[in-house]
Amino acid sequence: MVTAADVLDASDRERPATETIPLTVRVRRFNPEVSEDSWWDEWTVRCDPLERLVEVLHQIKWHHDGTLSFRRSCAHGICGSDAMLINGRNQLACKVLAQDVAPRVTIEPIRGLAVLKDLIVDMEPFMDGYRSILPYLVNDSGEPEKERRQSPEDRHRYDDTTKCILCAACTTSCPVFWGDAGYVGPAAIVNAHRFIFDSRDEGGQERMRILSEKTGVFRCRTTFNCTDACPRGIEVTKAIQEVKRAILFERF
Amino acid sequence: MFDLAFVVRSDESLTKMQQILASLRERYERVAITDKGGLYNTDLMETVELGYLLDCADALVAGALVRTESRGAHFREDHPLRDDANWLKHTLATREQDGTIRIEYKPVKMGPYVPMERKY
Repeated sequence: MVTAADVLDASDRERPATETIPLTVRVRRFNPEVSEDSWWDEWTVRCDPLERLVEVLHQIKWHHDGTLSFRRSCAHGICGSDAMLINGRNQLACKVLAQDVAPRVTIEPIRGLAVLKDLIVDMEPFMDGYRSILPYLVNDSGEPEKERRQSPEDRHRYDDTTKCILCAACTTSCPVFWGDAGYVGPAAIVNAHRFIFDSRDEGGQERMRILSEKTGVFRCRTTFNCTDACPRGIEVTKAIQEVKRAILFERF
Repeated sequence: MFDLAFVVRSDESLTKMQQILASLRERYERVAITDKGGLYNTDLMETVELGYLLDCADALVAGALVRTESRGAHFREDHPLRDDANWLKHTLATREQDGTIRIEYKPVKMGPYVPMERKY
């Protein structure tokens, strides 16, 4: 029979002892209660080379400076809370390994949104863009008796854009969005794409009307920063071009 | 909790866990935070949440300790069999003013299936 002691021993055996590495973490801090200007703080910690940056930030917050503030939730790359500008690239802190940035990493808040405190930005303008494109199934042809069926081909048509986790890495890497927060941004267009090309949805015409306005898809200058930044590997720029093309050629 | 009150438990492991939780609660009474600000104070939030985690852990361990049977994800290695005669009931845990946990039970509403021990 398995005893609690066996369980303890087994889990201890599964944890291999690894050598820790030094990592210097430089963070752009901001707190309007302390100063109008941002400042830099730096900590050098020892961590497992396979540790994720979000755990390194936890180590700093829990053992060095409790005032360091950042958003995180699942810590496994699916909730989209911890997008940060890490060594100049928008990435999720929970997907970057310590060994890939050691011995030194610079972390800043994502750009183009107002910083509220340290790495926490005001996500409302981003969510406004998302809400504006009707990010839900629109179908007014009455409640069906059975589920709305879809062929594998039709499902595949918008598969890539279903992967979005709304982390804002794409939108806040977009130079057009930096210059004009009125632009709905790549994430909103990705989510519009997800419904426009869904065979069960009937709101495509309305979405394309919204996205043909001057805050919509034609603000995109195909910089490809969004595609580079997406932690889910969505072909963001391609999705935007598909929506542009649908608006131009499918008439609505 | 992962080591002593996970799926596999016993009177021994749960009693030990109860002692650990009592010492953690005593430490929690003296907890301090470094962030005194009023803006996105995640330091304060995490500290409050730690108290809730201790509450949940207390309730879980107290309920598991008295439930002398095995059922689903509650496997008591000292009571490996399911016991519907005595334990087909929900556990309700309430914290009393003096900090002790009162355990009560609520009957199970039966659905269309007859409950029985799962065998493979």
